[in-house]
Amino acid sequence: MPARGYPKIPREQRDESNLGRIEARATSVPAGVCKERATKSSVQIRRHPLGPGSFGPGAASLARHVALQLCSSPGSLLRAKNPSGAATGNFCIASKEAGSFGYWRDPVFLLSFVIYAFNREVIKPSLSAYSPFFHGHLDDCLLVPVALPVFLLVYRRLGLRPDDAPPRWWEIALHTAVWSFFYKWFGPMVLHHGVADMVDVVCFAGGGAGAWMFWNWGSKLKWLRAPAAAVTMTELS
Amino acid sequence: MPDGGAGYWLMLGLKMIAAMGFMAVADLIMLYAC
Repeated sequence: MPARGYPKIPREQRDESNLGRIEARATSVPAGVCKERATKSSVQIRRHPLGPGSFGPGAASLARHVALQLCSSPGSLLRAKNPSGAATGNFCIASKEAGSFGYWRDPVFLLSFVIYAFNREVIKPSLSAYSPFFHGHLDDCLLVPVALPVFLLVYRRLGLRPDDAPPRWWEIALHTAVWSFFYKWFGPMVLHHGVADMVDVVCFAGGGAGAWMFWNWGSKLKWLRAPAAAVTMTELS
Repeated sequence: MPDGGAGYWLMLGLKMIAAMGFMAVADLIMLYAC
């Protein structure tokens, strides 16, 4: 009984067959770039030290993809180029209200950053005595609203964040936990830099809770809406 | 998952490593500079 479909050909013969087909196609083209590229690609496949379908070219392609994602233009933030569920790991479901968070253009982030810079450059140098609030607690309260949008922007560029929704409670809580561990245990104990003060952890959490309220409830206020959100939604539609 | 192939998991792992690397570097910068 004859076998159905195509006859089975050993892998080595199949590869040779494909290479022969590529080279035959290259010679059939009269002249020009196509012929040159086809011949070049066949030679590259044949001369590659690890052979066709190896790990090396795939890993190099992935590395190039990640670098391009990190260095691409702000237009890459559009959901059309980062559809929900595409290599995100599906850590969370894309929000229906996605596109409302402006990351570095977010008003809460910008205001917190201005307060931090003003405190660092103007208030602290002008104080004659140590102030626990201005020298310590204020910076800790501003950690989440200043640092988290930058981190989330990187995650979004990498494709690990499925949408542009405002920071979720668990994103704030997870980063607050990591930063508390890093700045209040790892820094003082291992790196011998920083102070292990548990009040600072309360400031981290308080600043995160306040920022969460602004980010999630403040979206109902017109003056707190990110200006970039309207542009993004216009480009999407 | 949209794709359960090896390329998908390799890409996801690479992205996770990149994210954790960024977090480590950024935390160290904030620890020593801020």
